[in-house]
Amino acid sequence: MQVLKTSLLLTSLLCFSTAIKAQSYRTDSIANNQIHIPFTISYFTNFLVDPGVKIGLERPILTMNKSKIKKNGTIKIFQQQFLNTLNLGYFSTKEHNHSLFLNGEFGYRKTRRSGFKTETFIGLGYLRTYLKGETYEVDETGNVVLVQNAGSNYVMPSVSFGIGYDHSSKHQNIPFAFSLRPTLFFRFPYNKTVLPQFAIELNFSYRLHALWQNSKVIYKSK
Amino acid sequence: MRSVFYLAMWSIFLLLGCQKVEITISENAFDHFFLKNDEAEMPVWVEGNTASKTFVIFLHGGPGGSSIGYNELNVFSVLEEKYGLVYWDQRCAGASQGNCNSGSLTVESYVKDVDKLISVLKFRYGSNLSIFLLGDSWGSTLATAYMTTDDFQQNLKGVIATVGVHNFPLWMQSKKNILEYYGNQQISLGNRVNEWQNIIGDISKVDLTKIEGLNTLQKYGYQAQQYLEEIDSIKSITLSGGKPNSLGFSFVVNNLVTSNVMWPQLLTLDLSPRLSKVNIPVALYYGKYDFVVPPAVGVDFYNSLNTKKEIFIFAHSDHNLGISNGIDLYQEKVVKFIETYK
Repeated sequence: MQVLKTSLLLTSLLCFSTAIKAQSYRTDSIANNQIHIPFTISYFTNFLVDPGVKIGLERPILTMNKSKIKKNGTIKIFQQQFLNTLNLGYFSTKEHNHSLFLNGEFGYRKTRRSGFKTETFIGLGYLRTYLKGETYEVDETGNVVLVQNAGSNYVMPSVSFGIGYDHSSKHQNIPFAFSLRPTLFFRFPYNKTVLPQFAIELNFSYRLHALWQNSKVIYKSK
Repeated sequence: MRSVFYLAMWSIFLLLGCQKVEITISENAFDHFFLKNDEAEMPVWVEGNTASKTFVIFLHGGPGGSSIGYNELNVFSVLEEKYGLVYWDQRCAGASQGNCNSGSLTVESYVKDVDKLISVLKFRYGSNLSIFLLGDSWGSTLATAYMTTDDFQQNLKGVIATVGVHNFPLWMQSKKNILEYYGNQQISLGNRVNEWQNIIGDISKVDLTKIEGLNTLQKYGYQAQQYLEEIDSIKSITLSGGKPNSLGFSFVVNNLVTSNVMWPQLLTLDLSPRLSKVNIPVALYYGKYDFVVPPAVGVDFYNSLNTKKEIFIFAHSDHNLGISNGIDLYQEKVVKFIETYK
């Protein structure tokens, strides 16, 4: 649990440190823009051993486009975004179980004009395992029965950090992005305690033209 | 769109939930299934010669260890050629999953699991199996507890207890004794005099009824094995291999939790009074330089049994009898025992 607490604290600090800095920016305008929602698909590998996949949607909550004039006269432009995601994932642990999960994440992303982006997410989800192999129970009279859909239910908190590239920051007509996200997640209750797991996500996202929503965009400068 | 999503979800759940029963009766079986009991989901592998109808259930050490290492490192490959080897990760141990309540772990709960495992083996492979328990360290204690509970021994053809403990208060005293014995011997030989004096000094103060005392004796026990290895009293071999496993943390978490719950119970456990009821053959194997379970424990175990029995103390082995020097002789003896009583 200590690891989880530390991770959550670090994530919160990362998220809010930018908010504190933002105080020195001047708000130029606030708009309610139509923003296309990215569809994401990831190769999700647990401990680099278990193969898996994760698909989802990202929903922006707040976008801040910021610009500032640097001392050398050049203009630095970047975007900060708070977003949430909804994902469905699966990974397979050889000889042990299939794991299927549904999770939601809250995240913060910073994208430079070059397209380079950093992001961090905290999530909470539900994970269901399905044992790989027949599962037997024996009752008190010694009768052996085959258990169907054997497996367990877990709460799945997670925290992840990512770096990547957003192609749409330079080429709006090809709006894809990708990132590499180390993810720490937990299975709870695992034998009445917590099982830490570590995954690597190779995430690809594409903004779907058909899916959009109005979202608040703030333009700031200094 | 929504109905398609729900249909897809249900299809995935149903697909993952599907099970096909695979039972292999052959000379080279590789079966894998789970035993579920009290919310513990325990993996079982049955490998080797299941056609022989002779099954050897390996009970791993710990409490809180795992059978997976023994399986992947092919420790019992000789046995697998002749018998069906059953590798089982006990509740709250190794790669066992689910939601086993480690807080309510008792020797009795493990015994019930063994009995249920035997029921499942008979259900899958036939009721005419010849079953042996092969315990390693704590696994031997579990085997002893099983064969002395109710009439469970009737399910077995025999028990092989490797570096096992039947009497934990005696065990603690023996651990202290062996350290003192070899400590004094090595000091007189001029080997690592300061280190051995330090060990003898520290263990003279330990309380043999407390976990702290056990921890001290364990620490010095492993240290002593290292020192003796340097002068070649023990010859260890290293087995390499194994597959990467994403449940690595499971081994750590389970081991920590289970050890904390079980050791306070085990320190007072003495199965000696129950040994007189044993009427199946028992083989006891120990390492001469085992500071974790000294051979003196085995001698007392042997003397407490009134059944067909044998004991062998391996001259150059430590606690890792099954996976260190002497492995060939060990397997030879195990095979001979099983062939005699199967």
